[in-house]
Amino acid sequence: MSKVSFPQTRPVDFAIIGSGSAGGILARELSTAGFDVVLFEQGPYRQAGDFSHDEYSVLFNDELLGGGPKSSGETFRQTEDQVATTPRMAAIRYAQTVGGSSVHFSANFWRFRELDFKERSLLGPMSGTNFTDWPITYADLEPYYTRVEWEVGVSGAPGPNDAWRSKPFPMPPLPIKSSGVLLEKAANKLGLNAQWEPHAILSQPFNGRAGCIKCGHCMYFGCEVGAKSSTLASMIPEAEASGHCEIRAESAVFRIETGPDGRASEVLYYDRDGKAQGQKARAVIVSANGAETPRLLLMSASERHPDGLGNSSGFVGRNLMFNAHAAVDGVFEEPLNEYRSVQVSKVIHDFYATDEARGFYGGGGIDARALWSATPIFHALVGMPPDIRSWGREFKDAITNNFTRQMTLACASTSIAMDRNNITLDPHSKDRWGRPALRTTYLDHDDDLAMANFLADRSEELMDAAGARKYWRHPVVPTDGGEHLLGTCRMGDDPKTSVIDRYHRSHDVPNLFLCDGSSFVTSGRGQPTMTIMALAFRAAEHIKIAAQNNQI
Amino acid sequence: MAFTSEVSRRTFLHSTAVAAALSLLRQGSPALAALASSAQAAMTADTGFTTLSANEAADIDAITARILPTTDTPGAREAGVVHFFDRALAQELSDALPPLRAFIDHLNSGLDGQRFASLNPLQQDELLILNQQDERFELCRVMTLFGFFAMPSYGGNRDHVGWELIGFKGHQGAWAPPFGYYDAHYPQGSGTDE
Repeated sequence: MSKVSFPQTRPVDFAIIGSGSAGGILARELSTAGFDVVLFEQGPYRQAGDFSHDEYSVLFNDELLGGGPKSSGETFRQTEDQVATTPRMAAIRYAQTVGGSSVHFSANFWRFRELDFKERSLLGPMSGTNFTDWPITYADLEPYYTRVEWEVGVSGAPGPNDAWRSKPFPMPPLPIKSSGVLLEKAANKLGLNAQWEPHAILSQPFNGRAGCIKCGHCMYFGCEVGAKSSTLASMIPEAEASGHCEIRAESAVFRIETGPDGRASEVLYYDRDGKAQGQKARAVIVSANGAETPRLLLMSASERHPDGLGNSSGFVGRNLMFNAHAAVDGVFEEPLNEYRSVQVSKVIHDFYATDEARGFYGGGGIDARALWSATPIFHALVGMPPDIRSWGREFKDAITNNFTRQMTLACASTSIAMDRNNITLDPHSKDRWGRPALRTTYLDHDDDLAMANFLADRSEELMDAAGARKYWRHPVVPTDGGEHLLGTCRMGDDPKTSVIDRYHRSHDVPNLFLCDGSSFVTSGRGQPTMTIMALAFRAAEHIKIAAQNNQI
Repeated sequence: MAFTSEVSRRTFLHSTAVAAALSLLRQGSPALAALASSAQAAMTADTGFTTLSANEAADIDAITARILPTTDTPGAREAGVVHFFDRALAQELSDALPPLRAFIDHLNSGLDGQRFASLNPLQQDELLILNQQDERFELCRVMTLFGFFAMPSYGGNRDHVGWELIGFKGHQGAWAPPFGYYDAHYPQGSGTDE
């Protein structure tokens, strides 16, 4: 395949910033339609063969994360009256590599449901929040969920609680694990439903790609055989093969320049040597994730856009949602060997909808998974019960016995959009390129913590019903960061309370589009990537038509 | 909590020295693996140390052997964890060397000229229990786990002794069902086409 490369001074049709779940799909859709695309990625262009099972490097040396807080300079605080400081561990966690976080995610892959798009109408307002409906419905997005399943590659089987679908899954679910059997047994006892977990991982060969070999290194690792349906494995090769897409890796965008007409005209970036460069473009799409997309818009302020590009609403960076989480660990008599195969095989969705009888807003899922019993260092550092000493014979006996006999019931749930949770530019700290660092301000809503605790309570009951010899719960506390980066440039029909329209176009700048987790209006129940990808297919279709009709 | 938050919350406490080591570790160097493999050649059992003095190495070896003791199964000593320390303290964890040296001095300071390594295991445990809230002990503990379980190319986990102990067959790259006891006994048996 001969790789195309575009001159910087002649405008390309589209500059797409970010090569992850959304950017990879937009690049494939637009380039295969014949548009010239430059796809920017600040991380390197790793291929499947570059990924390893080196836990020390991947989990503890941030091999895929771009160097951690020292290099990003990022800061965190819970509330605006605090001074944000640089944390030990990144608050904003995403992969810097071609394919973005779709490379290192666990690939749990839930669709949203009808209620996720209209919950404000169903439940009424919540004071002190920006809880509102999406401008689109499940029916609007369903065809694109189906396209993700069939074009990116998703394994699964329908469950009793799923939303309707227009087409079956293209391939069966990944095989059941011991954790899935135990969850199902417990669910049956308690009158709940344990259904198959869908994955963006191939259970069998598909579209010329290999099926999963069950090596067990999904979470945080890149897939060495390309069976994980990252955009690196699925979409980006097709974009490159079109002859219309250049992947410009190790290129960190620091500004979107606008012309005298107020339109986006050029993307300014640092190349791998740290030298400032520019790429002219007819239109710009930002898919840099729910933290980096608002940061870039805020960094692109100008006289005409004094509060940041596309930010006349003041909503750029606001409404950050991480999803809430809880976890209950349990040890069983016989080996589960959860370190083999994918993280999850069964999930309970009986608590998906908000139940007003609970007394708080929210919903979520409980799955059974390896979590910190997938790799040894993580297990020894985090997976031990709190009632044993953390060193010595007792500790050694516990890790020796438990590593193969332990599983976690992992709970993922809602976050509510609020002004107080946001991404801003840190006034003091800079990243390694000299760009103003990300500043995250985040304190979970009480209902988010209540929902996580509710799911942890249910998980304890499930552990008991599953016959765990011993189980313990990790306390639910306000989070210090997250991987799900949602809501910070929300879509909506009203330019005063949203950043983009229902087709992902900036309300303020006609040739600027934003598409990634930042577009979300609500958080969903905890696995956002499927919806990010479906939004990208939908956005691409509308952008393509607009471009073909000269309406950009 | 996001799941990864648990690492910082449960292990690294609020400790400046550990934070320095952790942030250095997380800052990382893309060539970490390469550095490690080149260092491995010089790191066969019980050869000399390049970063640590013989006394320091003996004390660290003794500390790691209390964290993961040799019982009827191998512990930190058999895994050569002290060699992980010796290599990492010159490379990705060099910020941890001063606090670690200070901790060894601190342990030895009340021993009337003896060294930690020369105490018997019961005395060693007593001394470590007195110091187990010390952030520098936590640094030793975390590094011991790294050295016991990281790939052998980083200096410890000799012959995969750490992985073997807990039943992690990490060198096998692929698996097929059944994976464990409970799915082997799955009543419905054929939930998938596997």
